[in-house]
Amino acid sequence: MAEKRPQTARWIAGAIAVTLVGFIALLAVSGGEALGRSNRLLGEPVPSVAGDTLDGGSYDIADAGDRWVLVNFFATWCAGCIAEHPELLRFEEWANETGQAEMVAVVFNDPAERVEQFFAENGGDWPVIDTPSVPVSFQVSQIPETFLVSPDGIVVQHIAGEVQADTLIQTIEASS
Amino acid sequence: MISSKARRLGWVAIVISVVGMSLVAYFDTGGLETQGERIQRLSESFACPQCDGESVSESNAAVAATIRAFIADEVNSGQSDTEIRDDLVQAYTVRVLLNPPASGLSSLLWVLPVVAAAAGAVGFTALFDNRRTNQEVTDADRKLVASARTDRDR
Repeated sequence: MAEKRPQTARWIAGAIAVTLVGFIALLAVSGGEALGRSNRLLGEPVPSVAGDTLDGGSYDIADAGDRWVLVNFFATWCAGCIAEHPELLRFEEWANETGQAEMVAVVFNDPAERVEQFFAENGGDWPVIDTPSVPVSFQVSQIPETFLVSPDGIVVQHIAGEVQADTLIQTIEASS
Repeated sequence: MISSKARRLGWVAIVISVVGMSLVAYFDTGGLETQGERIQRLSESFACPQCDGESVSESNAAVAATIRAFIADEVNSGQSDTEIRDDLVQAYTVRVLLNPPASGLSSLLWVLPVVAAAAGAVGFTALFDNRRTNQEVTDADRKLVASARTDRDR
């Protein structure tokens, strides 16, 4: 009788320990992949990128035809976005010359007036849309983030950070 | 004097009331909820993907603001709570939910703490029960006491 108590207690403590370890392990692995900088859209068909542009027009990636599309998420408060702007201007120049690509900027939590003012002061004639469903469907969490979409409508590149025009151009020319 | 039949009816009425109120509390999603209140409620139910334990409603992160704007757009365009939830889970995985779903593997997150608490309760009950049953005085105890008294009286 005297030996029964420690044995029972050991079993109960063991059961609780196993349960708690299982709980902690489950918490650690639940939810699948982490919400890091990897993007699940790579290799997948591009989600809808459509909406009214800040200059009063409209944009729809479905109208890009057989051109590559660079989808750039942008805000004026984002230092990296401002730093990469000259690279985007270079890419735009190449895209206009060759006709192989087009660009679209998607505003990421920034007032439209500020974005318009930024483009007026710094250049850039590509369409800018402010549609919150687009950054959500692209799983954007920390800008600058840019996606390169092939003429087949597949997301082939995800750049988390500043883009380099030469790298983008090389990727497109190598694939064309 | 209240008859036993009346007492039984009283108990049945209490049980029906409690179950009824529980069901109303569980299924009532606020029929008089305004769109603003609905947006706020939904924002409070999603986790900011970039923050640690903060809801989309609380966080000042840009991604949280974007998700709030997304929820507002979806609510205003007539999307249901389920559709909005599915879109956000599709984009940011199930980790965007502050309350894990009560199905599949995630349901264990609800079940395991209950199992641990139940095991703990059983353990404590067994422990105290053992203590109570082990309080009988044995012959060895009596001998020890007698020996101690003898030593004291010397």
